[in-house]
Amino acid sequence: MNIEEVDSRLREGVPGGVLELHKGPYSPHLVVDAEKIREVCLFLRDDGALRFDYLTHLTGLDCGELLCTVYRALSLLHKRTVAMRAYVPREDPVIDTISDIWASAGWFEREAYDLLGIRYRGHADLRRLLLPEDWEGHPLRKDYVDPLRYQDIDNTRDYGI
Amino acid sequence: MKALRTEDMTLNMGPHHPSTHGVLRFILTSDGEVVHSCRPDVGYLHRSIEKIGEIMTYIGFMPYTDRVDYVCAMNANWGYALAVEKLAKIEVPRRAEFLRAIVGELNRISSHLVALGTMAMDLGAITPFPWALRERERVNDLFEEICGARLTHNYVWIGGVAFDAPDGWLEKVRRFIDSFEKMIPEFNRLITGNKIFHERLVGVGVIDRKTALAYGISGPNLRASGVDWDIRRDIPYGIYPELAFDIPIGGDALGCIDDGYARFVIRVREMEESLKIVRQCLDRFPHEEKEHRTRIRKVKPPVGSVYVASEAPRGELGFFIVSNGTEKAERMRIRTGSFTAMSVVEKIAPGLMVADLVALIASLDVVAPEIDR
Repeated sequence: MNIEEVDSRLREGVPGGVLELHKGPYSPHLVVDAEKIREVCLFLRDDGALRFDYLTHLTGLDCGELLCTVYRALSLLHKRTVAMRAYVPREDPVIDTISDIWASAGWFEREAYDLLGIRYRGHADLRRLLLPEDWEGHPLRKDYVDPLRYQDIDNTRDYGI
Repeated sequence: MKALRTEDMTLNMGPHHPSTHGVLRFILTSDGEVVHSCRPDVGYLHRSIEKIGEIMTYIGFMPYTDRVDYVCAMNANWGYALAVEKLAKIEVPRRAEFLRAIVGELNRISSHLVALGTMAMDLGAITPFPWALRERERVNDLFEEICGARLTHNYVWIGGVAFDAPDGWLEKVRRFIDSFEKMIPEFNRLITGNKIFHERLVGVGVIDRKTALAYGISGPNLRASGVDWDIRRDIPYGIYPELAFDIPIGGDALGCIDDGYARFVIRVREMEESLKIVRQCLDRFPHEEKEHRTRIRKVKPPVGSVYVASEAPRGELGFFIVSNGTEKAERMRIRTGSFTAMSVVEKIAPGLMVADLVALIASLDVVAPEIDR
């Protein structure tokens, strides 16, 4: 089963869930309606023909006006993967959590929240993962500017040149 | 008699760990010796490697991949090279593929040696650690001879490998695997069959198949839970499709499954399989082909994205690269095995004794820089 078949199976199972099958220039993926991400993921995991039982990774992307969550699921049974993207607006980047569908998403979502500021609605423990809790900003956003000071520690270096 | 009232105590474990896993910190609540909850606090070794990946050129980023997981830098180099080669459609000469497989598997052996040695040391057995490190030093000697570095190799380059094997190097590798093959039974005699070691690990830190899959555990930890999955066989890369090797999984053949002991034994068995692979590479080495690298001046892939997974000693090492058509990546994402392995501790720890929590963490073989990147 290739991505076209996963796509058509999903369109049957979750009407309106898949917005687009992207074939290029980026690697093939399904663009999923952010409002229906939970339905799509549940269907991917539980449908007998799909059985995506493993979330390989989840991360965020800064796409300018939009922020994007990238999902990649794997079916060990059928030896196939599927990649998905869900876009949310930059001003209000909120999307439902899938951490109860695949537990590994728990930390992946925390990381994406930490570094890109995407908020995962319904996440049980959405705290920063890598950076200190009082850190300001989300460093993997393209408009991020390094702070000059953090807790009275000077972040600049005078190299005398 | 009235039941004795007890209170939960909050304990801070770390932010260092008396072993070689890197800087880890756990916030425990415990009732006496029994852990009620365990919150791993990671990020102490966050070096912004993903952000640096957006600032450096593709070629310039290679030495940073060494630092993602410095216990198996060769495998990290290799995983990154695979991703960029797929993105920019760069061919790799056959000679380089063999050299990559040899150093990759040697690095798997040396990484597992560290894992096994520290696992034993975390449980209080000091002797196996220097024994394991002595063998690892010999692998480091081989690496030093081929690329000049013992830890952060920067050896696998985009389009091939940095240097060809010097004269006599392949014979030295063969001498090493011949002697190391005899070391494995000795290592087993020293620790694998030890009764105290059994009692500390058998049935401790049980991660069943369902939990392992849900938490995205990968590599030897996943296979210890009875899941037959190895990227080298299932999503093959390099010359692995030409090589014959077994994939040890927890269950009947090993006699142990799901627990810390299974994760230990799997790694011992994987070292044997790596020896098999190295031996095959040496036997079939393409001496007639001289090129070890496709010469490239500039890597400028077209707009696109790629995710390439490789089987590192600590599980799935995946590079997700988004290209905007320039010499620098738009996004450089690294998915590592230790990250997901660490996240499962939160789930498994409640109900363990504090000492067993140490056994759990040791048996998962987490390396902190790989979690934080």
